Amino acid sequence: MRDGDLLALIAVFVPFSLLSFGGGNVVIAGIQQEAVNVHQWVTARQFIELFAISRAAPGPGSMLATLVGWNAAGYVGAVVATAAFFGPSSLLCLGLQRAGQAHRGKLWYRAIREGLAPVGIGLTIAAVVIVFRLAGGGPLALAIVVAAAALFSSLPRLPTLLVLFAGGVVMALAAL
Amino acid sequence: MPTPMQQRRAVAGDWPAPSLPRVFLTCLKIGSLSFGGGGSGWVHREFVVRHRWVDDEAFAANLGVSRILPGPSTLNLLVCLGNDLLGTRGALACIVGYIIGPLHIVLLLWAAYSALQDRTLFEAFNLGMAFAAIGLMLLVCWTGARAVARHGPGLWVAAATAVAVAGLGLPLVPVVAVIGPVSVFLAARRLRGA
Repeated sequence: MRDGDLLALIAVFVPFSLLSFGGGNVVIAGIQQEAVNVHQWVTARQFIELFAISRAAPGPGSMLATLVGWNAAGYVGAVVATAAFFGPSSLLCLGLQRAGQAHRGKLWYRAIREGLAPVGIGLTIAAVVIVFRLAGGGPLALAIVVAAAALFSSLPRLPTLLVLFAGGVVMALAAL
Repeated sequence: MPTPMQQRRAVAGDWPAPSLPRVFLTCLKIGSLSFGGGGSGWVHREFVVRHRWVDDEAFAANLGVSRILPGPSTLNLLVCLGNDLLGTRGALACIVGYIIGPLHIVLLLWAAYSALQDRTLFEAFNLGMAFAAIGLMLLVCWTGARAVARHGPGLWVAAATAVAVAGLGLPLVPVVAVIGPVSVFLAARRLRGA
């Protein structure tokens, strides 16, 4: 592991953090270009596997930066890349929130929050549809989605992970 | 001077107030367990349904901002909520709590994946969890739609956004750049009493 790698990870992921509108997916192509072609931290083949695993992990939709960092510079690389990829966007969000706080009562502040709320819900609906389609959809998938939604809404005390696990088991059994 | 959130909670009653450790642990839980995605669904389930730290309207407002800013929307959402509840310390606690689990879990998954011979069952299992997580997200869509329907054309705005991005396949940034300001303008008119 060379110090140059850590600096390179920061230089790569900080800009991507600030460009990742709509989540990490927008910048995947850029990350691939940097990780595979420019810095050769992983091979093209490895990148595809990294991508699949980063989606399997809990938490943010894309832990890709973490895995690229791992391949570049071990555990320290993973931590540095993660901080570089999630830090800037989070601090921007915090900064805007706090800057806006002083104007809480003002009309334009409330108009922005109230105006953007339905846009956010629309984007959430779109994300659900797109992910469902991308994952292949199908009747079994739809059944899992509906059953899970019913369970979640009728049993708020039911452990969330249990329902997710059940969905996983159903799909795995179907694959046997 | 209590924040609007604190004022609402004072009216709502006797639910345990958010403390820094409690919020941190909740974010740790959400981050570490949200397999299959749907992080904002988890945040809703924990912050709104279980702990009653936030109501549906405040949740939807913060979600809107979170989806539009760069970065993972669940993380942005937690930053906003953490700050609303406990200021900068709250936001930082949420960031660290949320990220630290997935960081280590993904490394473990990578190690396990590299060692696995047959991966079809693993992939099917993941897919199943992803679909169940979509079920969780449906709840956010439903409660969110009801919350935004209360204000003027909120439902139409949500529908138009969803159709544009998912139905027509238009890219996110231009859609938001067009619909966002229109929605904000309409909200401003409504608030002004027009």
